[in-house]
Amino acid sequence: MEIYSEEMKKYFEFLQREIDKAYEIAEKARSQGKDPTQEIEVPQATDMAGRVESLVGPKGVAERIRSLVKEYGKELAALKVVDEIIEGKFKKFENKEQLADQCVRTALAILTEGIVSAPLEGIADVKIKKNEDGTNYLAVYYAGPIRSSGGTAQALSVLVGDYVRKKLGLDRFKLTEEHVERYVEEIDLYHRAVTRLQYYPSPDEVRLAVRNIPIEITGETTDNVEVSHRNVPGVETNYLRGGAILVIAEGVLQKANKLVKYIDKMGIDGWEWLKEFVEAKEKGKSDEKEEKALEESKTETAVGETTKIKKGFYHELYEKLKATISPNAKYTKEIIGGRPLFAEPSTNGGFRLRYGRSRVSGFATWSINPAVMIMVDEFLAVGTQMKTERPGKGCIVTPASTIEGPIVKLKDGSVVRVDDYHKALELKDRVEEILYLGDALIAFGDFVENNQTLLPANYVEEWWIQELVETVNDVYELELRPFQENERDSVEEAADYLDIEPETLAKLLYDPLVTKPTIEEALHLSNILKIPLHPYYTLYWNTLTVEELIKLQNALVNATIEWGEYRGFRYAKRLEISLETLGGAKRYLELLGVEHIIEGDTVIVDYPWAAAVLTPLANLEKKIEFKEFHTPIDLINEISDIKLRDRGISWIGSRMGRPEKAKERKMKPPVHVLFPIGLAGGNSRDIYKAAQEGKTSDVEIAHFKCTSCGHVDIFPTCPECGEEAKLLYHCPKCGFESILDTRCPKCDIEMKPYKRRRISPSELLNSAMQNVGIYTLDKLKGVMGMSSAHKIAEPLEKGILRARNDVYVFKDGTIRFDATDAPITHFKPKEIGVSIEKLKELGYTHDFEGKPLVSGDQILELKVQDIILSKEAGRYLVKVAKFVDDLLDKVYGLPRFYNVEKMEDLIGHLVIGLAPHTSAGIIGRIIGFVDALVGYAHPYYHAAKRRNCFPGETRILVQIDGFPQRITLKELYELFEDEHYENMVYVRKKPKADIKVYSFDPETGKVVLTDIEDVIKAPITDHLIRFELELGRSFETTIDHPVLVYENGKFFKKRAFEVKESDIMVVIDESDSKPLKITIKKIEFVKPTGDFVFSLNAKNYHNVLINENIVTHQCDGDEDSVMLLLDALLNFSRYYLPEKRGGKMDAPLVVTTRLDPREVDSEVHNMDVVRYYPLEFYRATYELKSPKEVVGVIERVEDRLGKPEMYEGLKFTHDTDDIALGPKMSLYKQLGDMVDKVSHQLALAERIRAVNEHHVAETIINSHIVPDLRGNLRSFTRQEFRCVKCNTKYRRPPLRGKCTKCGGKIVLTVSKGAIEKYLPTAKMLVAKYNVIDYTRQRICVTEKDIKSLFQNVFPETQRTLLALNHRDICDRMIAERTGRTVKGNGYL
Amino acid sequence: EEETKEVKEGIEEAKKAVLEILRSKGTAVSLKFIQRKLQEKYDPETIEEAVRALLTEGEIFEPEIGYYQTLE
Amino acid sequence: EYGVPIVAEEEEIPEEKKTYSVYADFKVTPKEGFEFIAKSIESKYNIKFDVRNVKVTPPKARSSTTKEGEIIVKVYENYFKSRLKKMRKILRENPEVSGVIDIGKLSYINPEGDITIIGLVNSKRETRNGYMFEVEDNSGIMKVFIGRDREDYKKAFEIMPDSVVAFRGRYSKRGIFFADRIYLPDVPLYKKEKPPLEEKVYAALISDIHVGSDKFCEKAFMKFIEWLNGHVNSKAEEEIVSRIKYLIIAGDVVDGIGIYPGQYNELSIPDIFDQYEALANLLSNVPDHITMFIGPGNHDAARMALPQPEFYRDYAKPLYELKNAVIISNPAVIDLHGREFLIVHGRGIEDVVSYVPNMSHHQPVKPMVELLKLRHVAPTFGGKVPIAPDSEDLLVIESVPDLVQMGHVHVLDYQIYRGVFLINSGTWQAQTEFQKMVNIVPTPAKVPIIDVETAKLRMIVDFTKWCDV
Ligand SMILES: [Fe+3]
Ligand SMILES: [Zn+2]
Ligand SMILES: [Zn+2]
Ligand SMILES: [Zn+2]
Repeated sequence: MEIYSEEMKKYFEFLQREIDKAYEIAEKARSQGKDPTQEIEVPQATDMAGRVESLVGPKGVAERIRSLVKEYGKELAALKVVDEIIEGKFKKFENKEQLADQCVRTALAILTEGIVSAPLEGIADVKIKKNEDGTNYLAVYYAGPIRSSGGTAQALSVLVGDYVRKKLGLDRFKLTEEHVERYVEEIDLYHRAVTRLQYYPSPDEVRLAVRNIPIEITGETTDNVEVSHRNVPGVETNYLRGGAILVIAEGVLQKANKLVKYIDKMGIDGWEWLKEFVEAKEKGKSDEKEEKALEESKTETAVGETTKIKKGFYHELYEKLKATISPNAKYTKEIIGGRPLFAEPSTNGGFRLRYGRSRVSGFATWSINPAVMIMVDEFLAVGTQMKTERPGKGCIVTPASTIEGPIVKLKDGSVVRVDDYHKALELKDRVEEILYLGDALIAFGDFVENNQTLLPANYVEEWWIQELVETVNDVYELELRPFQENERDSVEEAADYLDIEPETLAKLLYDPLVTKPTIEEALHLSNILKIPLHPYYTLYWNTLTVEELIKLQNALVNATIEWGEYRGFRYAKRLEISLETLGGAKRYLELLGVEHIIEGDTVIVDYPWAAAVLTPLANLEKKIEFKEFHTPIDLINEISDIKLRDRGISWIGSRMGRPEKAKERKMKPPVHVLFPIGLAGGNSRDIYKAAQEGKTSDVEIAHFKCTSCGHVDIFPTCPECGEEAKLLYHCPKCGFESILDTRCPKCDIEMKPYKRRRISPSELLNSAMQNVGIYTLDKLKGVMGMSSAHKIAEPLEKGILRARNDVYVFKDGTIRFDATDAPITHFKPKEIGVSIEKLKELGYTHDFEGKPLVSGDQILELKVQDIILSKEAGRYLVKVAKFVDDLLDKVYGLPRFYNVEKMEDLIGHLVIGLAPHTSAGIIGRIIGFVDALVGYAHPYYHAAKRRNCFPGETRILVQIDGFPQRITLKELYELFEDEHYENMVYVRKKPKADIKVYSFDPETGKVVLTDIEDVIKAPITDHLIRFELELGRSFETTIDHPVLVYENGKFFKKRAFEVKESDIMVVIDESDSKPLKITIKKIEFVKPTGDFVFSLNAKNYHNVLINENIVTHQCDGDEDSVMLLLDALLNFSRYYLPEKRGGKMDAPLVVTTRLDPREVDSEVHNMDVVRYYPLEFYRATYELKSPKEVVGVIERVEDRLGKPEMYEGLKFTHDTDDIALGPKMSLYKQLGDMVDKVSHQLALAERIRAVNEHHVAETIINSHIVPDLRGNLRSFTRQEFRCVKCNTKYRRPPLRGKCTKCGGKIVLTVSKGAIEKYLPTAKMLVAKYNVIDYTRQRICVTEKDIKSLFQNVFPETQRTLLALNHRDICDRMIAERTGRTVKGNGYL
Repeated sequence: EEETKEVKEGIEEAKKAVLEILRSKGTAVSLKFIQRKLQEKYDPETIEEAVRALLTEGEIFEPEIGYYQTLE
Repeated sequence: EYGVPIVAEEEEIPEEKKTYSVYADFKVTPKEGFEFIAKSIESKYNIKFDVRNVKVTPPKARSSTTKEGEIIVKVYENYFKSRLKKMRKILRENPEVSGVIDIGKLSYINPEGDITIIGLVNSKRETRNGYMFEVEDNSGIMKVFIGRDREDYKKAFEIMPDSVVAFRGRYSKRGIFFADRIYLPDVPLYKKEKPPLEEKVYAALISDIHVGSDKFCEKAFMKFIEWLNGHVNSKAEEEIVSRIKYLIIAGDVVDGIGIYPGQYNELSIPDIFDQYEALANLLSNVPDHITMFIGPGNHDAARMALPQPEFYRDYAKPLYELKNAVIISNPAVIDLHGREFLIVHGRGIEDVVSYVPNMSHHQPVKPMVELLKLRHVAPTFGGKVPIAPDSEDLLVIESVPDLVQMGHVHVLDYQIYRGVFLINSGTWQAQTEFQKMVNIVPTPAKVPIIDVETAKLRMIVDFTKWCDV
C-alpha cells in the first residue's frame, strides 16, 4: 500500500531534488581537495537496507534486503542475502575468501540494523585456512570493536560464519587440545587482567563451546597481555585476542538461549550441543506474576463504599476527584530565583484545565492566552518552558487566543476579564491581583502519553455547542454539525425553531469558540433547550463556599437592580450597590470572576454580567438555603430554571522552567575558524592580530605530503603543484615519516598525523586573504590548539569569509543556530511573512478545510518537514548563506547558490535540523519566519530525533529483587527484554526482574528508588566527553548529553559540552548519604570504546546515580539546532572532531531525508488530530476515566500510522490569532542579580491568588539559595587555585606563592564574595516572609559558618559581632531564644 | 354545528398529536416545529388552538413564549 | 497499566507547633547506695592542645589595597608551609632520615650517592613500573620515582596527596629522583612506659550522638546515662561504672540543621537551639564526678571547616552551662593522668578511604592508622574535608598520643598500632534510609570503656537492644 498521497509524494520529491542539488554542488567543491576529505561527510540515511549497503555493500544489496526482510524477517533475510551473494547476484569475487568476507559482513550488518560499524571494524578479517588433515575451514578474525555490536549480534556472527562455511562447502575447524586450552587460558586471563567479562564462563563451558563451534573464532591482539600457551599452530599471536574472547564468552555462551532461538528460526543444524547447554542451565525460575495479581485484587476491593445521604451532584464529583487524584506538589519542591511559581498544586485560580490541541501544540505543550503572559509580568513568552503538576512534568508555552485569559482585580477594585492581548497590555500596570490565571489548553494525547487519569472537564464553549447541537438534533430532528459550515436549509430551519438569527446560529456552529451569544440569547437557549448556561456567562460559583453564596444573595437584596425582559423572562441588566452595603460580599463578586467596576463608593455590575450573577440566584426571588453535602452550584441548580455546569473544577499548577531560546551557537570563546594559533593569538585567539603584530607561534598541526612533488605542508592539496597531498604520519620517537604507515616500522609505536610546527600567521593569512580577495579584517578568531585526533586545520579562507559575514563556527565545522522546539501543525501565511505566490510554489494550494488558497488569513496544514524559524535565526542564516555563497565563489570557484539579501529569500531552502545529543539530522525546509524565540516545526519533525547517552561500561546503582548492586548500563539493558527499534534507537521496556534505580531528588536532597520506564541503546556518536571529578571519580557521556550541574544554588541541566572545568556536579556520599557537590577537575574528549551508548528513563526524577555515585541527568532533548544544508555538506568534517584512531567509517553525522512518522519518537504517536473532542469524551472525564478507555473516541496519530493520512488531514481544536503573539522574551532573561530576580518573582507571587508567597520564599531559600550558599562554602574550603597568567590549576597553592610553571600570580577559583553573595537576599527573605524556624535558622547558621571561616584571616570582622543588633533577623532570633539582650543599634 | 363538532374533534386529535410529540421529546419544543411536524394533518391555527387548550387544561406549560413542554 | 489513579504521597506540611520533646522531664538520680569510687579519685586532666589556645595570626596586608583574595591565598600558602615545617621536625626524629637536602639545591649540588628529600606530595601517579610522585618543598619541585621492585614500594599506596614524606635515593641528572626508601612521619616503633596509676580509673568514649535525628537512639542513650548513674546489670559492670571518671564525646553531638538537603524530614527536632537543649537535658544527668569533654563535629553548629575551635556559643549555650562539661576543639589533646588522648571527629577518614586502596568505612580504624602514620588529621586538601584558611596547620599530630579517638563513620572499631590505641567510637544514630540502601551498617549504642592507665580498652558496654528506631 502506498503511504503517500500524490501531493506528499510531490513534496518529498521536491525535497529530494533540492537535496540532490546541494549534494551535487558540494561534491564539486569537496572534490577540489581543500577539505580534510574529498567526499561529503554527511551521508543520507535512508532505511536499514540503505545503511547496510553504504556500510559494507555490496552494491545493489539494499533493494534485495528490503524485499527479503519484508518476506522473511530480518534474521532469515540475512541468510537469504548470503545465498544471493554466493550465487553471484551482486558481483563476482576474486576468491572464496573475499566472498566469505563479504557474506559475513553483510549478514552481520543486517543483523545489527546497519547502524553500527561492528561489521566493518569488529571483524578484522575472514580467512579460509587449512586443518591439519588438509581440509579447508573458515576463520573469522574479530577485533576489539566487535564489543559494540552487543552479545547477540556477536553470537549471530558466528552462526552466520557457520552458514557461510557450509554454503561454501568448507569443512569444520578441527582444533587440537592445545588450541582448546589456549582459549580457556585466554578467557580467564582476559577476565582477570583486562576487563571483567559480563559473563565469565567456566573452563568446561569454554571447552564445550570451542570444541563444538564449527569455525575458528580468532583475532588480532587487543591487549598487551601474553599467554602461556604460546605458539599454538595457526594462532598468529601470543597476546590476548579480545575480540575472539568476547565473541565466545559474551556472545555464544552468554547469549546461548537467544542463539538457540535463532538457530531454530534460521534452520541451521549442527548446533544441538548449544541447546543441551541451555537446557542444562535453565533451572529454577520463580514466578512473581501471581503475587502481583494478588496485590491488585486487594486494592480493588477497597473501592466502592456506599452512602445513603443525598448529596449534590457536584459535591459527589468533588469528593470523587479528591479521592482519586491528589494535588501533586513535586514541581513546587524547587523554585529557582527568578523563575516564578504560577500556581500552587491543583489550586483554584491557577491554570484552568481546558482540553484541546491548538495548532501550535503537539505534545508537552500548553497553549495559553497571550494575555496571561503579560499579566504574569512577561515571565512567560512564546516558547518558555514550565514545570507542571500534570499531565506531564513539563511543557513549553504557546499562544492560543481562543481560550480564556486571566481575570484580574485592578487597583481601583474593579474586576476585568482579560481575554485580549492588547487589553492586557493596557491594563497590566493597574493590576492588583490575578484572581484567575486563565486557561491552559492541554491535549488529550498528553494524558494518554503520561497515563494520567482524566480530570473532570471544566465547562467550555466547545462542550456547550455540542450539547446544543445534540439537543437541537434530537428535538428537531436535524443533522447539524459543530465546527463546520452547515447546509443553509438546516441552519435556517433550526434558527426558526430556536427563534434566533440564522446568521448567529451559523456562526455559532462554525466557530463556537469566538462567537458568543448575547446574554439574552444564552438564557433563551438554555431555557428552551434545557441545556446548561453558556460557559461565557457561567461564573466561578464553586469558588465560593455555600455560606458565602448565601451571604452574597443576602447582600444583593439591597442592591438597585435594573431589570430587562426578553421573550417573557426577566433578567437583570444592571446592578448597583454601595460598597458599604455589599461589605465582605464584595470579595465574593471578585471570586466569582464577574466583571464589575467601582464608581465612587458604588459597585456596578453592568450588562451582561448582572444577569450572569442574578439569574443563577433566581433573580433573588427564591432564597438559597444551606444544605449539607451540596456545593453552591448544586444549590443553584435546585432553585434556578437555568442550570449550571461547573466551569472551574480542574486546576493545574505550574512554575517557570527554562526560558525560551533562539541564538546562534558560539563556542567559548567564539571561533571563526578551526585553525590553531597557540599563544600568539592572546586571550581572544585572534589570528589577525597575531598576524598584524608579526608574531609566530608553535602549534601542533596535521601535515600533508604531495603525492607528486613531495612537498610537505599543512594543506591537503599541494600549494606548489596543485596535486593531492596525503596525511603525513610522523614518529614522535625517531622522526620517521610516512604517508602509508600509521605505525612506525622502526619503533613499533603509533605514529602521529601531526607535528609541532612554527607557523607565521601573517604569511599564512596574507596568502589566504589574497586567495579570497579580502584585504582587511577586524579580527579572525581561531582556536588555541586543535583537539581533534588528526589536528587537521580548516583553510584560513573559510575563517576569513566567516569573519567577514560575522558568523561563527561550531567545532565540527558547521554553523549552527539553536532554538527551543515549538510544535506547529497549521499556520497562516500572514503570520510567517510569506507570500501566497511563494506558498503555492512550495506546494501549498489549499487551506486546511480544502478551500483554494487566496488569502493570508487562511489556515494551512504544515507539511511535515517544513519549518518556521525565529527571525533571529533568519537574520543569522542570511549571513550564513552569504558566507556559503562567498565560499563557493571565492574558495571553490563555483557559482553562488543562495543569492539571498533578506530572510524571505531563504524561504524554500533546506536546512539540517539536529536535535541535542544526536548525530542524525533531518532535512527541513524553511517556509517562513516569526518574531518569537522558538523554532516552529511539525511535532513529527521535533520527534524525529534520537536519544543517546552513556557508554555501556558506565556503572549504575540499581536494586534488583531488593538487593542494591552496581551493574553496567549494558548489563542493565540486558536485564530488559521486548526490544523494539524506534527512531534509530533500540528500546526495551519489559524488565526481567524487579529492577529499580536510585535517583537523586534535588528538592529533598534524598536518594530515592524509582522505577525504570525504559532502557535505550543507541549507536554512539563519534566521540565522548570524559569528566574527571575530584576524589578520582569520573564518567563519560556523549557530548550533547544533559548532565546535572550545580550552579548558583540550584541543580540544572547542561549539555556535556557546555560544562566547564570547575563546574560542580553532585555526588552522593556513601558514608552518610549526603549529596556532595564536587568540582569537575578535568574534561576531555575521548574515543568511545564501544559502538553503542545506553541510557534509561527513570520515572519522575530523570536522573540516576552512575559510577561513583555521581548524579547525572538522563537524556531528553528540547532545543534543536539548524544549519544550512550546503554549509553542512561543504564544511562538516569528522576530522575536526576528536575521534577514533584509524578513523574508519564510524558514525558520521547522517541525515534523514524523508520523515516517516512511524520511525520517530513514539511520544508523538499519542498526539490527537481531531477538530473537536466529542461529548462522549467530556462525559468520560466526569467519570474520571483513564485515558485508555477513551482512546478510540479521539483519533490520534497512532490510528493513522501506515496510511497516507498520517501525513495529511490532521486537525486541531483551538485556533489562535497569531502564533507569535506574546512577549518576545521572558522577563527572566532581562533580570539582573539575585535580589532583582527574587523580588520580581515575589512581587508576582503576592499578586497571584493561586500562589502563596510565603511558600515561594521558603522554597526559594531551601531549593536555591541555601544549596548555593552551602555549596559555595563547601567548595571554598576545598577549592582549586589557578595561575592568572597561564591558567595552570593547583589543588593547593604552591609553597613559593607563585606559579611553578610561569611564575604568575596564584589566585582563588572560589572567592569570598561568591559565598557571601546571596546572604543578604536570604536574610531579607527570612525576615520579610513567614518561613519556618528551621529555614530561618539555616540561614543564620550559614551566616555564622561564613563568618567563622574567616575568623583567623580577617579577625576584625569578628569583633563587630559581639553585640546583637535588633535590626538583624539572626540577632533577634538569638536574643529571643537565649535571653541575651539586644542593643538598640548595631554600634558598640 | 357539524362543522364546529368536526373542528372540535379535529382539535382533540390535534391535542393528542401535540401531546404525543411533546411526550416523545420530553423537553420544551418550539410551536413552529410542532406545526411543521403536523402540517400534513392540521393547519397551524388548529395546532395553536390545540396548544392553547392543552395549556388551559394544565397538560402542558410554556417555559418560554412559543415553547411548550408536558407537565409531568 | 493505564488509568492508575494519581495519588501523590503524603505531603509533609511543616508545622510550627512544637510536637517534640527536649527531654526536659528526663531525670536520673544516682542509684542509691551505689559506691562511686571515682568520686574519691582526684581528677587529673589538662587540655594539652586546644585550637583556641593557639594564636593564629593572619599575614599582614602589604598595603591597604591588597585584595581579600590575595590574603586568603597567602594564608593557605602559609598553612602548608607550616605543615612542612612541623612534619620535617617529626621526620627528623627518625634516625634513618638523614642527609636531607633541599630540592632546589639538587640540580646544582649534583650529589653523588644516597640522599634524602622531604616534601609535600603534590601528586602521585601509577606507571607501568612503579609510582611517580611530584614532591615540593620550599625550594622547589621534584619528580620522584619508586620502582615496583623496591622494598618500600608498597608504602607508596599509603601516601596521600599533600602529606609530607621523606624519600631516600639518588638524584638523576634527568631531573628525576629515584627513591629506594620512603619514610612516612609515623610514630616510633615502641612507646615509652608511663608510670602506673595508684587507682584504676576509666573513661567512656562516645561520639555521633545525633540528637534531633529521627534515628537517634534516645532510649539506648537514656539507658546509658542511667547506667552511668549506677543502674547496672552485673557485678562486673558495677566495678566499671564506679570508676568512670571521664566521658569524652568526639563530635556530631546533635544532628544539626541544614547539614544536607532534605534533612528537615529526617529530624525529630528541627530546631538547632532545641537540639542542644535536648542534649544538655540528657547530659545534665551524668553524675557530677564524671568530667565530660565535648567537641564538635560536622553536624554541629560550629565552624564547618577544620579545625573547629568550638560550638557556636549562641546556639549551643546549654552545653556551656553544664557544670561538669569541658568544651574542647576538634582536634584536641587531653592529658588524663599523664596519658595523651587525641580526640578528633574524624572526617579525614573519608579521604583515606577514597585515596588509599583497600580501605573502607566498615573498618574505620584502618584509615585511622594511616592518618597516624601520616601524622595528620586530614592531610589532603581539596578532597572531602573542608580546610579553613588558617596560617598555621593545627591538624598535624605533633606529639605521639597514647590514644586516638575518632567518630564520624558510625562504626565501632579499634586497634593497637605501635603501642598507640586507636578507636572509632561508633554512634547513637540507627541506620538511615540511605545507609540502608547502600548497605552501610552502623554500630549504634556501644560504649567502649578505656582504662586510663594503659589507655587501652577495658570493655564494651552494649546498649544496642534499646536502639530500635
Ligand atoms: Fe556522625
Ligand atoms: Zn606538489
Ligand atoms: Zn602560570
Ligand atoms: Zn561526622
